Amino acid sequence: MNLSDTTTKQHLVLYFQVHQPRRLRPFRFFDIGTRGEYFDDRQNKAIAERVARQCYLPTNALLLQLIRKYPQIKVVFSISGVAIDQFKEYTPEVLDSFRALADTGSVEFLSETDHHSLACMMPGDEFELQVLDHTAKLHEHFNVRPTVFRNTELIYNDEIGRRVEALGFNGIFSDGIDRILQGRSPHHLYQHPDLGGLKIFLRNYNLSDDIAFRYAHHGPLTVEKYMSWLNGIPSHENVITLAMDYETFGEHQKMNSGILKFLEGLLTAVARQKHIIMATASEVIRSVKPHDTLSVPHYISWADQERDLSAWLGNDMQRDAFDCMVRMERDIKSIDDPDLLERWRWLQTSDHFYYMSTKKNDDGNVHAYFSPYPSPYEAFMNYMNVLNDFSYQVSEHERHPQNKQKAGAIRSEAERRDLQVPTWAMNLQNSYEH
Amino acid sequence: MTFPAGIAAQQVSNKPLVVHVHSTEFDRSGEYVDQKVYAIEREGVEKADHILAVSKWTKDILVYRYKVPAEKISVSYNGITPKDLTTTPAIPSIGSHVVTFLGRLTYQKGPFYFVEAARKVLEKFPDAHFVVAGSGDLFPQVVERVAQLKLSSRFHFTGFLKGESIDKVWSVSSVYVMPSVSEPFGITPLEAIQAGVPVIVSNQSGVAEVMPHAIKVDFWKTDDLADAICNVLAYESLSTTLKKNSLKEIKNITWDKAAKKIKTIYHELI
Repeated sequence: MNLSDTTTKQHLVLYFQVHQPRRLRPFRFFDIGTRGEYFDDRQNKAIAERVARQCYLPTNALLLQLIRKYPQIKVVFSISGVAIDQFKEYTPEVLDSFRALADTGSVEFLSETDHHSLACMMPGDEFELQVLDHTAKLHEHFNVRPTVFRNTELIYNDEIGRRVEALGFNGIFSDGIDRILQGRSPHHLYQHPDLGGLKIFLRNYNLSDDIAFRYAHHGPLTVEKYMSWLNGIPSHENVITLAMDYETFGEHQKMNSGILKFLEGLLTAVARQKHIIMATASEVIRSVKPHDTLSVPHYISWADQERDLSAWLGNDMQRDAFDCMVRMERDIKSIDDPDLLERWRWLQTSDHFYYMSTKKNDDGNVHAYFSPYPSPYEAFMNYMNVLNDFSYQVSEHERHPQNKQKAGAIRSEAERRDLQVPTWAMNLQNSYEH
Repeated sequence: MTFPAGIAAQQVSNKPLVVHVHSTEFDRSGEYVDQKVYAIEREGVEKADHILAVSKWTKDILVYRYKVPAEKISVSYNGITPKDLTTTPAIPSIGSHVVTFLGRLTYQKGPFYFVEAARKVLEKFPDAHFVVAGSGDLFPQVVERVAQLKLSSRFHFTGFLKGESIDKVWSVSSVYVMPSVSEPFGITPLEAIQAGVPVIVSNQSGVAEVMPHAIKVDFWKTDDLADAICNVLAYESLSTTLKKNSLKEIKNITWDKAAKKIKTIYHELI
């Protein structure tokens, strides 16, 4: 090889998704009208604590230690706003450990919708508002300003690309599925067909799932085997994107499976060789020229065999529940109550709809693994009962407007919040079209 | 009750005895079993070389109540003969919310749980109708209980039905409820599904094991049962999704499949 160094270098982008929904408590049809509590704080706390113990804390500690030893290790995280809020409430030490990683400068944080929602499917600017909420949250907790975006479960199409670029981002993650690549390799940086050319990272789902889903099936997977796969990628294919749930390490694959040792071995092995260099997404955008434009007219995602929207909006129940939630937007927003608005957004978290999927076989098993309900029907019933009670609450609000004192308190709270929005976000807010 | 004959044949012919269990004395009578019947059943399952139970529910009863070693029992589910939905005759609808119980009015079928759940459903859906199709030794008591609760105007007792009359009941039903106390299998829910009616079944039934697209509750939890009924009545998308998916699912629950399984087991024994 006598090609110059930069052209032979392959970049490895390793992106981990961190997310925990706020799960609902059992809510019966007969509870509609009681204006009860919707979210199962006790369960959510217990899960946050368990996953912190099994995954977030030990894996973050490992990453921090490795990054200090090998500064060439780079990692990308996307942490949903609902997860950040729950860490703050239940496991502040997790937030601290992510902050420590942020401080190394070797870790990039992506922006996403604050509530890990399907807001991109809603009319109006709910999507943009949630993205700005999330960027503000990242700035508040990690002192970072994200420039690269990832939408909920890598949902993407050209239109989403346009909206994300209008928000000021210069890159986005999606899944490297065959029907959009049409024979091309996922191992390149692509760009949106529009003039601005938002850069697109495409996940190699085979290599990602080899760790996330098939680690144990590989008997278990060894670092040597995995390195041989990475090394087998032709050297002109220069951006390898691996993306998976961060909960893979210790929660989905338990610690005693050796998954953490595997991660340690893999990162060390990559750090010690020369031709694959680890990079954050923005580093790749700075140093790699896009290979080709990529048009994605139809929605894609990283979920299920179909890799479309069917994991959340695939059956009548899911679409009905989603539509009912969306229809509440105008009423909710006409009431100046940040608490109600926040709870409505918690109900937008995609997991609620994911639990209602009635798919079978392998996909069905994955849905069932994540679901706190015995069946998708229970998930639907519970969600709808909550939503109906919530609608009832909102209509009560309209019938009995807040007294003056309360209204004043709400207004000043809203103003206080407004002031906390960083100025750059305010500018951004004015820059996109309504 | 054919056990003694089976055992005799086994002894005379020196061939293996396979026993098919479709119901036990515990299903029919609960805790207060007829000791004579129990003794016969127990001898039958003891002497059998292999047992085919109609569900895991029944297998568990044989293991725990009859002390049969689990490895001697295979589960072979019932099936349903495919039938076309379009031939269903309709009758004028009696209302938009019709909840149906169809089965013998005996202890085993749990009719009182149905009445109790109906009482609760009526708090939310005062216009709902409840069809009780079937007869049995509890018939007078069920009618009496409904009258006592002053719900007679909401209840429709059809007596024992068969053939086309059943299809007519299905054609007006919004949901079918099977609150059985102990149901070895339960083919009626599959027939309801075939007729395009969503179903709610008790967890204490074999059919619950093969039908993921049904709502399942414990028979004694009438609050849960009422809740499930209300949900199906309230949310059309729930009802349509249940219908659509369960109709697809019963295509895999066939007698053909049951026959193949039984044949393999027979071959293994010879």
